[in-house]
Amino acid sequence: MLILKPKLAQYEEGIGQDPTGDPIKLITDPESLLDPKGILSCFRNVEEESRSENIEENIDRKRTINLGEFSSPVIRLPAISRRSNNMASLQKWQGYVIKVLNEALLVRLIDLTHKGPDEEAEIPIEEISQDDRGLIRPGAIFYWNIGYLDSYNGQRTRISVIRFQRLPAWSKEEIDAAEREAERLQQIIGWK
Amino acid sequence: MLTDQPIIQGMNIVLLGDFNPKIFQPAWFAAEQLIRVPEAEGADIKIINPEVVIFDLDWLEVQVTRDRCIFTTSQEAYYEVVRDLCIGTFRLLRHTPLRKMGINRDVHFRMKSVDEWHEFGHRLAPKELWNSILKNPGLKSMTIEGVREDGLRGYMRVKVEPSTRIQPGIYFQINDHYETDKSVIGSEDIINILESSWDQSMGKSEVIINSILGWQ
Repeated sequence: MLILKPKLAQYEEGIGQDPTGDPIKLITDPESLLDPKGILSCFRNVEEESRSENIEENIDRKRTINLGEFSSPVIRLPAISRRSNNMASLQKWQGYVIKVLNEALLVRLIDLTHKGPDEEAEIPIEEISQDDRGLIRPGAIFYWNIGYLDSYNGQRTRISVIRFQRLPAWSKEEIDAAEREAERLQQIIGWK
Repeated sequence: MLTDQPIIQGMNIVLLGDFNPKIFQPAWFAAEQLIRVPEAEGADIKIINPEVVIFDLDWLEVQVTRDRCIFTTSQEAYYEVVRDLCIGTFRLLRHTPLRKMGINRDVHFRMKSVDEWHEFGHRLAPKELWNSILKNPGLKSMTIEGVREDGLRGYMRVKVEPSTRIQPGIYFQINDHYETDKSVIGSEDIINILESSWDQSMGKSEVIINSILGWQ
């Protein structure tokens, strides 16, 4: 039987240090759950906060599995695939659509790499992924990155990635709350 | 911007709170238009059960347990996309209690030579004291924590280690940690911080790394 011990619950019950950042671990021996100190000693970095252990971290997983005094196995679920690709941007823009033309988008680009002046550009619609084309409209925000993709197999490829922003529409409740807040601020400031 | 190209880098957003992992499935993200449908269909699902969900897209890994939610990418082109995914998710799940958040960077740099690599370690941790205590002392890990400068609760923690991925190389981990009042219910406070502090957090982490590497 696999039992996941919620560390946040331990912490809030006052039997442990603040849990953060530890990798996900399944404890397979229910008896080990009886000794809170023992449980905590099974975890690495119990003092850490809001961090995660993933491929980008500097961990040799074979050497960091530390069962301490326990013989019960602690199973570490795979944190991230070793086959993941790495990508570093050479140039990065955030843009928004000014106007949708027949076969292109008139856009304004904000340089996020060098903090240069904003620029206007035309991007052919064919540059936009099919699944993002439904998001194209005046005002739509997108991110455009040019850089190197280093594949897990060692191949370096120069790539250009355009992704349109995907955020849920504001709900009526949120819009009403924003209007109430605006009215409150208006009254404080004294505008009429 | 980092003043030299890191060899490997990544970013993750870690949220601590109370989660219902089963919600966080690729199909749900696609249904809410937070990711593309083909991405959801092609997701590499490692595990989905009531206690834990882990899946990968080409540019993203998602891990959710009852007390933790992690969005990770190793592709710089997707840093803002991951941030938006996180914001969008918890705008929809706005009653999910979020108490703490880390905006974290992981970066590996290659050093030009083993001598330079040693020199860097000696500069960070001078060995005068250690030479009389240990034979051939070397820096394995250093973590420095600073208080926040933005008035928010939390801290900034910087870890520097020899890279285990690149030889000779240096590994940096920046943990920009935020907390909210424990009595807060819902996700709004933490998500507002993520939205408003993102640029500052990214900029600060780059300044820290560049400064330590001695490029500024």
